[in-house]
Amino acid sequence: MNTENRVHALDAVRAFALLLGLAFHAALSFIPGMPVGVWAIADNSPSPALANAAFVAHLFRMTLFFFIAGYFARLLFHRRGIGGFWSNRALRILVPLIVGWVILFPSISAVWIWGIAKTFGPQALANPPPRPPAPFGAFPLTHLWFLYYLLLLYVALLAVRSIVVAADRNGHVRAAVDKVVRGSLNGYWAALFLGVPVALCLYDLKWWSFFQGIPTPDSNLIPQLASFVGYGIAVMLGWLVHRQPDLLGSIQKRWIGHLVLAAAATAACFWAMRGHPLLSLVPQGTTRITFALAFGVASWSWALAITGVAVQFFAQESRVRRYVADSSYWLYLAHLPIVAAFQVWMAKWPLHWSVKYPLVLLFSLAILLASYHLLVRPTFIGKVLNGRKYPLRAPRKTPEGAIALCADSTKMPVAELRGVTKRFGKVVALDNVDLQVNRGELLAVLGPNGAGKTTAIGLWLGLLAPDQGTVALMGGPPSEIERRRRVGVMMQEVELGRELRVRELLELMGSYYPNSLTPEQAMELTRTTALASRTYSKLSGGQKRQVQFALALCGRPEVLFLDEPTVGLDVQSREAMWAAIRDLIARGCSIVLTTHYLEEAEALADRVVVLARSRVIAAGSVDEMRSIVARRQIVCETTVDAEVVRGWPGVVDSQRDGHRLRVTAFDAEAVVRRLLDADHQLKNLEVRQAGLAEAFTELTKEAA
Amino acid sequence: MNTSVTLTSPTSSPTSIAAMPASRLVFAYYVEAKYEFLKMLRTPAFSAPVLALPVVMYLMFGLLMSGGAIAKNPGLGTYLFCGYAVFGAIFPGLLGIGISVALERDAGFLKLKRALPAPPGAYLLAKMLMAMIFAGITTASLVVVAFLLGKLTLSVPQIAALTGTLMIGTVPMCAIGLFIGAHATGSAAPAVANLVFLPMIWLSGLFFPLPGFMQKWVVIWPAFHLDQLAVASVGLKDFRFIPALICIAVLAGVTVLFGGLALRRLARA
Repeated sequence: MNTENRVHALDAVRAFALLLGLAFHAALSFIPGMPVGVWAIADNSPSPALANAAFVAHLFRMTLFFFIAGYFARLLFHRRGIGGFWSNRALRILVPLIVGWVILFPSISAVWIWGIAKTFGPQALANPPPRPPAPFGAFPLTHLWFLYYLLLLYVALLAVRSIVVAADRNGHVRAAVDKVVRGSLNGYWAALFLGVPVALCLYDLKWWSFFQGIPTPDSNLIPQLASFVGYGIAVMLGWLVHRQPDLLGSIQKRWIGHLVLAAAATAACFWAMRGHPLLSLVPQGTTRITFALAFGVASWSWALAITGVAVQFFAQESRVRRYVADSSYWLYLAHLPIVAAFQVWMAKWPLHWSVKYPLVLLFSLAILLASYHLLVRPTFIGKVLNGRKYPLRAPRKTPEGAIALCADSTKMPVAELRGVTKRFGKVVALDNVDLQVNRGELLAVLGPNGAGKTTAIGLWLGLLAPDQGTVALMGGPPSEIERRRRVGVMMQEVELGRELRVRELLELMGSYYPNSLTPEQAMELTRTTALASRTYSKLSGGQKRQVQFALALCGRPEVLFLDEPTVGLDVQSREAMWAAIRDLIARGCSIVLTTHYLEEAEALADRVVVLARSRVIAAGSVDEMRSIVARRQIVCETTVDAEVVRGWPGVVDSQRDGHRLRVTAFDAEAVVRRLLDADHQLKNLEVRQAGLAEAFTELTKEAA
Repeated sequence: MNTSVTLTSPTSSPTSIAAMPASRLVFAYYVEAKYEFLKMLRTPAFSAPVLALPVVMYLMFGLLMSGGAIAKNPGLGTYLFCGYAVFGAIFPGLLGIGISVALERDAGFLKLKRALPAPPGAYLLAKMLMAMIFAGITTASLVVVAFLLGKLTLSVPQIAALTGTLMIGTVPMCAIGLFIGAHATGSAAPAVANLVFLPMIWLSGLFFPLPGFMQKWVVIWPAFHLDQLAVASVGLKDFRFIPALICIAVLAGVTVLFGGLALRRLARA
């Protein structure tokens, strides 16, 4: 997996953490005993279950967020340098913090006032309860505190970095730190190592409730120790993991283990909490120790588990995830007053929380996504938040550099193997093979069984990964679904749905492609219309091949891989399939066809590649192949001069080897006649097929 | 041959991305699910027992043989009804998916799917929907049979709640089935799946009272937890042994564990 894919996965994690925050805030009004004022409103249908779920989400969501932020911070720092880093952060973090606060704080206050009025009546606003004096540095950061802390932590991180760089000139310290990070992530120690300092900070807090976890530092500009350390560790680890990006692989491998650990530590949290209300203060003594430790470990094992899951399952680029990831920042920034307003609005509705909570989410997301799509994504706000803006009605997205490539597009190979080696255990299936399929050509790959033909196709289809070298399909990795949508395939020895009818199979297969042929069209092209309502398992071998051919072309492919398509066909069906293949070529389709039969290659191919014993032993046009096949080698004992023979028509080469003369020639019979005329003493005459032709003999033997 | 059909995409260029409109994607998921269901329906070795067994067993054991006991305790009738509905909900997920995935894996079907641009997860989603629909059909047929015989004790909202619970409750069973299908060969899968299915069904106390020492062990079977949820969903006060939230947690755990391990295996193969 390349770094680009990992970045996609981490993007997804960041979006998940932010959206989880939205879901968390939407749950707060349903928490039993939530005091109005602390949150905007308390719903008339509280839910302990939702409260517990919110507690679990809150355990790790910000730790996870800051961990990913640390990773991306180093990525950005090394891509842009220190100046670039700060100007980027100023635009993406500082501007949203300031502008966001100016807009959000009044709206949040308004919703809170509405909630208080709804709970206690309007007179409560006229006579507010006396407030304790504000401590030094008090400031209502609201949920935008995370931007403020990001900036603080960036400063701290870069300060630590410059000290380390200055003090650790030979890199010993950094190497040691890298080793510790690697060691702890190559096992399950990281969650414990990181959990303990978090636990210590929490244990020491003066005012600490179960629900709160790492305190949300949203009311003071002075950095709060527990929050600063707790999230500082997260940012630091993210930074350190980016120093050795392969560590993401270690996290990925252990996702199940981390998930189990997370579940166990979360269970321990609940166990320590038993008998105490969720919102109560954590008592001193063993409960506090147990809870703090379980909390620290749980938050980190969740963070690592979710990162692992994302790298494992969400590393492919996906348009939906891309959109969600882009929108998540805006969604999180803007969600609070909207979510709280819906909570206040619905608080007194006589409905169960299991109806109201989804409604709050649904309404809020509808407004947020609509605002994102119309007001943010296509405008300068989107550019500030995500670094780019998308026009509302996008022309079909083309990747960067497409314009430059287009002029040259006809020359670009549609499928390519470059220096590919593939082993299965000790067997080498392909040994440093280079193969190219150009646009609009039919490439025939000839070779005996076990020569590596099917392996080559498996590589192109993304079913196999090469041990060495690069595989490209449409100029990129075949694992991407967008590329496979332009490819049709007919493989050997595969059973499709045996119980389905031919027409049904074609509909199923066609549904995978954006612009497929209808089943009728596909059957017409492959002359299988008569089979339409036959069950696949009841077809003969040859009929199955024909149906597979129809299935291969029903997606209007640009490239078609046919693995021994005509095996088992009678002469008539084979001719029909050949005709259809020629027709496809004439319409600009590129085809890779593997076959045993030289004859088949001759009938169809523009270019032929011969694979034998895992290597390409010959490649060229059909004519070139034919001439190679026609060559013979003549060996005899004669006095005729090699130089003289070389000048004769039909002779390719002539060498003397002691008494013996070796002649390579097309027209062996004529050359032999002339040799016998020139030397009546000629002895031990042998005529045999030369080099490549022997390989072909092998092929025809295999095929027979 | 008809030449009016264009074979290659008109806008194709080497760097263009074949975009799949959202409606087309939804259609692909739908077609996959439709044919998965049809495939299973047309496999009599699967569809006949899955549709008939729960009903036949309910008639024999749940009505004929337990008539006397039910007369003494009317709640028992409802409990047994739920038990056979649970039986019908486990069957397609565990056996159906377990065996079909193993067979299709053997046949190279999964390999072909991966070479094709099949939408991600469509295969698994289709299997899951198939199990859900079969579970819904079995519950419905039990309801019809009970109604025709005048033994139906449930109201319409209770039937709806039970059907909903069981359809969602197939998911953990699908996960177990997928786990079996991902690990066993096609020829071993029927045996393995039955070795899991039969003990689970009989030892989780769905149909008859278990001897005392075995009662403690019912909690190890996911079927027991699903049955408890089914009983809870119809609001039966007796026959509730553990809180519904714990059952949900156990079944969710089963889903994540077996589903996760199965996906891991399938991704590697």
